[in-house]
Amino acid sequence: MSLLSIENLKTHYYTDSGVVKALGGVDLILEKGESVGIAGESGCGKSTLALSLIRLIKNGEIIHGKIRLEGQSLLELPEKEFNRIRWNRISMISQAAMGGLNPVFTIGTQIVEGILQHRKMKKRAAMALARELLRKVEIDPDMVKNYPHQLSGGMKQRAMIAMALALEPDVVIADEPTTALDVVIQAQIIKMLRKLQKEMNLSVLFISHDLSILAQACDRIMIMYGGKCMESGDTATLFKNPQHPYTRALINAFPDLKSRRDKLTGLPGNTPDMTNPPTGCCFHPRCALVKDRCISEQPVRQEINGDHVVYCHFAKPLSEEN
Amino acid sequence: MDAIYRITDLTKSYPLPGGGLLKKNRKVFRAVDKVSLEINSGDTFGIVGESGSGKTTLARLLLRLIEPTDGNVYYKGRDVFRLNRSELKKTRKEIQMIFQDPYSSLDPRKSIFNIIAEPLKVHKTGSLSDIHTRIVETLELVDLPTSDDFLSKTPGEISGGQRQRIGIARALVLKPEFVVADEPVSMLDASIKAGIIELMTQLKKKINLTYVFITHELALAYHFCNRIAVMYLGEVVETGNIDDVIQSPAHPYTRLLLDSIPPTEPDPDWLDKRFGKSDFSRNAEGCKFFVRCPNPKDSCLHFRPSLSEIKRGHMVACQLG
Repeated sequence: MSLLSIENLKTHYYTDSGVVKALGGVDLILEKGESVGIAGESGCGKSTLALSLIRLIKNGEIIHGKIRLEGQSLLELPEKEFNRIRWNRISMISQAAMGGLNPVFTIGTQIVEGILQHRKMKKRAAMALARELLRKVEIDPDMVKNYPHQLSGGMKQRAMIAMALALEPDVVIADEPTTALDVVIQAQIIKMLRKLQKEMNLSVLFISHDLSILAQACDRIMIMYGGKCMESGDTATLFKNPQHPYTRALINAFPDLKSRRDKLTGLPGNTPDMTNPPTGCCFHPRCALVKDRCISEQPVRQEINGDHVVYCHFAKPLSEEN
Repeated sequence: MDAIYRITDLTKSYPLPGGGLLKKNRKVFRAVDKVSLEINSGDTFGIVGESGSGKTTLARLLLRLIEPTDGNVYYKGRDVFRLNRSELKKTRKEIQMIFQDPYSSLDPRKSIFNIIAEPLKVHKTGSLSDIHTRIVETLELVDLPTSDDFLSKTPGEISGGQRQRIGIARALVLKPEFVVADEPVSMLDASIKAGIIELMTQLKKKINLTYVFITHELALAYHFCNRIAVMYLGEVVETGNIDDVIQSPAHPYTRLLLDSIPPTEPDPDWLDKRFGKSDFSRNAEGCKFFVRCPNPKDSCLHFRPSLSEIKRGHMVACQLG
């Protein structure tokens, strides 16, 4: 049995301009001790997926699908029972820069509060645990006495990570944990997260728009576009043998340092309007290889090899061409 | 090649809080600290550094959006800070800026037409029909629609990538020679980002622009720029041709930046690298990078290195380099 399984998850938001079909049927499996990356650009549904997992969708709802944690179905649970799962068994590292920390409480108070919500222990013991956690994320344990504004961006993000790990959750969702940090700090945080993940045998869902970060931090990657999975597979295979035109485009859009390219290849067009998603394959309006079939017919799941899966009508013929 | 911009010992400091009633002993924070650079006509000159390195302050000084504490900036041989109002206004037609955030740098209540027309109106460049023709030409240049319907839209009705193209159109409508682009793509998605960089590359060829490109993404600068300056805490620590700096970095800070960039494909060795200490305290007397340097010498504590040439055009401010 997988630790976490998501089946055909659909989440919609209700806005003034219509129903935003943010997730259009996503499947995902996360095993114990595994780090899975969710890659995609803004509006692809990656954050909606994260929020659906902890049932914190605002102005919308999960309209279809199943989420199971060790076989237990989570979507049917009454809110009161789900409260015992959220943060305790599924926690989330959000962007510290985006107000993940409360400015009027010390770091220590905020970590302790989280612990005491779910564990019966003395406040002093919880504070000792908080200090231990800060040591784990490689910041000075005395920082428990500090307020968020006294910490640098990188330290705030480390404190957020400490909070998310406090209850030794089964699943940690890291939603863009290094966005808005400088590149050196970003590298330190990715390195630390990966180390903790291995040491504590954590299962991590790592959400990022930056494919190169996921390439280093994850065992497997799922590429999302328009609320759907385009391609998923183990990290090495996905980079060596990308099958979906969107995956290739995304890989080509990232500048690297190996050799100087004459030009970076962008993708024409814009990310789709999810109140009115494109018919057929949702990538077809921007796809260079589009055929009639792509406009009318939604591609189905195709297994390339083992868990390398792609949703494209022409995935196989393309690979033969190469 | 002739220098379009020559910058000598440029310094901008801001007072820090404290220092007593008469502010005599007030400490200052040097956002830009004795920077000297030359930017040649036709360059795409990258200025790279982390947040707080002074790259945006430097850009604002180039356009005289702020006044310096010390030093000079010569644009085509003339001291930018000695220009009088009318001379400055004339010069500003030639030097333009593209801003970072395509969401907040465009007035949400104005139409696309009025946003791009504003610089033309400020510089009184002709009748309304002249303005219209000029706007249509500029929109074609940046690959945007030119229909009246599009011109009457507001920034809220178009996508982020289109908005940044409007930002570029607004900078180009006066046909400048020199454009400062301050992190023009940092808020954009990868697929859109590459398209904007491609557009800026084409524009440079079409209309002979000189760019200053400010970015925190060294890899992006590598593909877009021909020369580069790496800044650390207000100082230029390394500068030279892009290939020299990226392929044979001489300053430990440049090497740290390069090592910190995640490779674009899985690389198991990358996570084993050391990514330096994240200590931003300053060494008041000696090398500013001393506290983060992987192998500093004792003398670095007291001696502040200045830029010296290690190869033609490749300068580094490090005793160890």
